[in-house]
Amino acid sequence: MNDEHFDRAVGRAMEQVPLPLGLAERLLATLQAADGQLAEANRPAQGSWPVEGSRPADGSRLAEKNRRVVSRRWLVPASIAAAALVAVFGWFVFRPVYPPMGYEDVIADVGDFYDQEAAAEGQPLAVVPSADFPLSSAVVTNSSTRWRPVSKLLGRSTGVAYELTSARGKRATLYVVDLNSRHRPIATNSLPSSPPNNGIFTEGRTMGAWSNGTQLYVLVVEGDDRDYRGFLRRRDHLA
Amino acid sequence: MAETPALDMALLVAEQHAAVYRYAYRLTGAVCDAEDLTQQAFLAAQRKIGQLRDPRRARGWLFAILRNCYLKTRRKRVPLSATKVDLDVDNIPEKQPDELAIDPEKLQAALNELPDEFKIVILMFYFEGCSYREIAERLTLPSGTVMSRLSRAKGHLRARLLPETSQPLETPTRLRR
Repeated sequence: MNDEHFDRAVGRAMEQVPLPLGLAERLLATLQAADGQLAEANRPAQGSWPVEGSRPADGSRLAEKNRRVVSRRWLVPASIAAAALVAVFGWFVFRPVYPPMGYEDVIADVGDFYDQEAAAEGQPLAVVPSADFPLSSAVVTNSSTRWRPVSKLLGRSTGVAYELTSARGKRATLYVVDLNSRHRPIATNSLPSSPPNNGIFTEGRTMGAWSNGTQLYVLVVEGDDRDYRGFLRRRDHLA
Repeated sequence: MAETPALDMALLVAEQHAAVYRYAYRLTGAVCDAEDLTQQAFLAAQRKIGQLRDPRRARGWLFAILRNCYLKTRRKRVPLSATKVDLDVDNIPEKQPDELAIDPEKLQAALNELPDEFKIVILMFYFEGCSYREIAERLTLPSGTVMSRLSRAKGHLRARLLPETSQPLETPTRLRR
């Protein structure tokens, strides 16, 4: 007997294994127990579970089911994408819209921020001026000037506070933030392009705000109007 | 979503349980063990049903799961050293009628004598119709190893199933891993 005949004979014999009665039913019961969701819904509408004699001749039923399964699998990512689109659209429509802040709003907001900062612990100061938030040339500075980063000022994620000291020993803080922010827009036409000669005096401090290019400057001086002006360089237009 | 795999499993069981059980029986050689192994395989398949993309490959996929379940089960038992299995391959068969009838029980007895490494290879060859290259690829074994195991396992089956027509070998042989 050659190999081919022997292989065929063994192959036939391999298949000759009697099936235990009720094997399919026991398997399904085990699977049901393992997965509670293999339940009544999965039973054929008519008749019982498929058994040996009623098995389909090929995998066509399975293929058909799996095609539907694959189609249903796409439902999940599609649903997620649709939900994301709805969420984005909803955010766009119902997002908080802030009215542009005017000059007084800026002063009030920075004043509150200044109070909160004063209540907090001191922050590390840097000597080298910030490149992103440069000092205003309209402000008097000296070798004792320091700066530190600030956040959440006027809704901006970043900004800078310069700590200033005058020749008379008065202290002031110059806040610098970027004007270009949609979160808390500022009506730039309400801002002067240079420090106002007369600041707004409240709660023992005097404040003034101005813009220069994309930068917003707010000067907070501990003291009255005279102290405030002591931090401003004398210019013709300030007189 | 969670109900989807269950649908597949019902059909898988209906269409494949007989083949899987037969394979399991040839692996284990016992009715109870075969049924247990079949259950393990379908339970594992139920957990991994999402991996079955092409239903036309369901049978091969299930067979692979079955083999893995079998090997895991075997690893938990005390391994039977191949060197302890004396396999009489003293005889090589000669000519046979074209339609040879092999006793399935004798076949199982001969399979039971094979170490797992040889049994897996021979069942993949006969049950799954794999070539030795495919077997080597699926089991990540060198082709030479698979060829050697297949040849020696077949020789063992021949010696067991066709002893009356076999010729004695020059020296007794043992299957070694």
